[in-house]
Amino acid sequence: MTTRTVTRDHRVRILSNRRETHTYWRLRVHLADSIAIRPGQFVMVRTRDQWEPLWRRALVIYRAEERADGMELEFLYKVLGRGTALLSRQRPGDELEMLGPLGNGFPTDADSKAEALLISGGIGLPALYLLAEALARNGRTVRLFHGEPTVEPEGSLPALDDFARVLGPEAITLATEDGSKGFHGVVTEAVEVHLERARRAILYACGPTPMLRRVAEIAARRGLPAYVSLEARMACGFGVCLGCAVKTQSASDRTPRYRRVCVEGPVFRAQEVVWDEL
Amino acid sequence: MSCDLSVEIAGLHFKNPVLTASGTFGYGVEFAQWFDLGRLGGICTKGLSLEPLEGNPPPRIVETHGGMLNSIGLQNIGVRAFIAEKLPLLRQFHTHIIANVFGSRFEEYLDVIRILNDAEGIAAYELNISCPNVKAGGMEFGNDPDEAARLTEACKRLAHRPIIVKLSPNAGDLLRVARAVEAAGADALSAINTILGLSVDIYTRRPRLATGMGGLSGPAIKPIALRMVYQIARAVRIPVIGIGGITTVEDALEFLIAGATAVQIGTANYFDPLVSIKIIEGLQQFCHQQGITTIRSLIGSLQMDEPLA
Repeated sequence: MTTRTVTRDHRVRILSNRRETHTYWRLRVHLADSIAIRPGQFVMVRTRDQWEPLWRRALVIYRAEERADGMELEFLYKVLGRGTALLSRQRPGDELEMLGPLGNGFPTDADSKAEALLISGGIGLPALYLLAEALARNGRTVRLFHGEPTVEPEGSLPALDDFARVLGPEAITLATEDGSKGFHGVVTEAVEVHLERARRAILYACGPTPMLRRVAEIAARRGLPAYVSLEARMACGFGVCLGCAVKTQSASDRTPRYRRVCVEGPVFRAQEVVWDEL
Repeated sequence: MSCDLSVEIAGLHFKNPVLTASGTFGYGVEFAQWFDLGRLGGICTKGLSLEPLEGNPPPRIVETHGGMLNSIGLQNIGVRAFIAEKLPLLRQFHTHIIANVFGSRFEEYLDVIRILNDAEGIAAYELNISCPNVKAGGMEFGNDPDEAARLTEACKRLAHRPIIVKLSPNAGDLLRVARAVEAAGADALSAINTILGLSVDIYTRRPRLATGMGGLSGPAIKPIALRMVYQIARAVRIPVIGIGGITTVEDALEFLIAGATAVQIGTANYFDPLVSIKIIEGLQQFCHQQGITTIRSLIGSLQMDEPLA
């Protein structure tokens, strides 16, 4: 089987779609093709011929595994509105239309000597698994800092166990704002504590905007490279609706300009984002 | 036996009546990875202005029931960059490229057309006199029959190609605008652009779009668009291209029966990039099933005992 890099509207079959914790659902699908996926890339999903709600929903690819008959893709999502509620009602055997892979994804070869710090808040976590896997495969030192407001009623996030298998449990720090488990405080505080003893680090982050902004500030103050994966409302996901524009300024720009989260992103260098205009 | 899907508009032969609507199809090339653009009747480009435009601050879009509001603000790369960077690839496809044109001033429309006149591979111009999202988006032309006519006449005099005028549903008297631009020399009309709307976040009590109001599009507007296209088609002699929430082949057929000579597919491109191809195939299939030999026999074939008011 040849590996495709082209983006297509794949018809995929649901293998399982289960509520895993109080807030997280885990969706596994079978894809008949084998496609090349970069960590942090996403797909736009809808149920067959759906147009109510109107837009597809953007889901970051959580895990991907080659199989003899194609690929198995896994997603973690929260039911937040009509689209994800509809998705959560789909059963094994049902088909989904899945446009992707989309977006640029995280760079995995930047500053290869540095310790890689993966920082996530809430539903930002799934964007970092393939990155953790790729960096660990390259022999990099990788740590995950994950923040939640409080610990889930069922205990720790099962997804953190997935990360623990790749990185080792000692490489993972859970921070809860109410102190119900792990580090008591917001996740970026835990990162700062760690950075007091780290010499060289590169930051990769996905989560709520205030958290990402804080990551950008920490990186700027310490002169560390940082990559953030942004979220934005998207009607298309492939660059034509121009709905997901964010103001950014790269080294080559004389003035800030709008870039599309779906095509030029979702991953941006933290210092290029004009945070005041998000 | 296959049905003849071709139609004539403004002296141009379209292989089928399915075009893609401005602002929903990028510069066309974005879709070339998924299907042969040559299968389309035509492509209306993103609106082109004299200079590049940055567009409005985010959030620019919001999903509503059966539709969406947008306030993109006519972000585009400018007419010169379009000709240099997009058109060379686009014109290789065997389809009609319709350049959508707008200006913040009367003269800017003329400047854009002058530049496009020298470019190869463009079939027609579509004048956007109806963007609701920027003050200088042509709305002042779209709402006033006299201004719309004056602009159409000036563009027509200058243009080396047919002029299609895209009408605003937000105009006070749409039919007067339609008749005025026909009298001023428009070769065809397209209707409708988005309908001005509002969505409010009840927790912050602020509009969900940064600019406040935005243009409503998608399946939710189809019955309104269909009614307007019906009325316009009866009010003028020039062809009308129907636009407004078309998502299925049945939607496209309704517009043709109501009097549209062709249709444009807009918002549906966002959630199904292949929708236009599905509609073209659906038209062929419908005609085959119904024993229709030419799609032209459907145009304006609405059956009624007396004209609808």
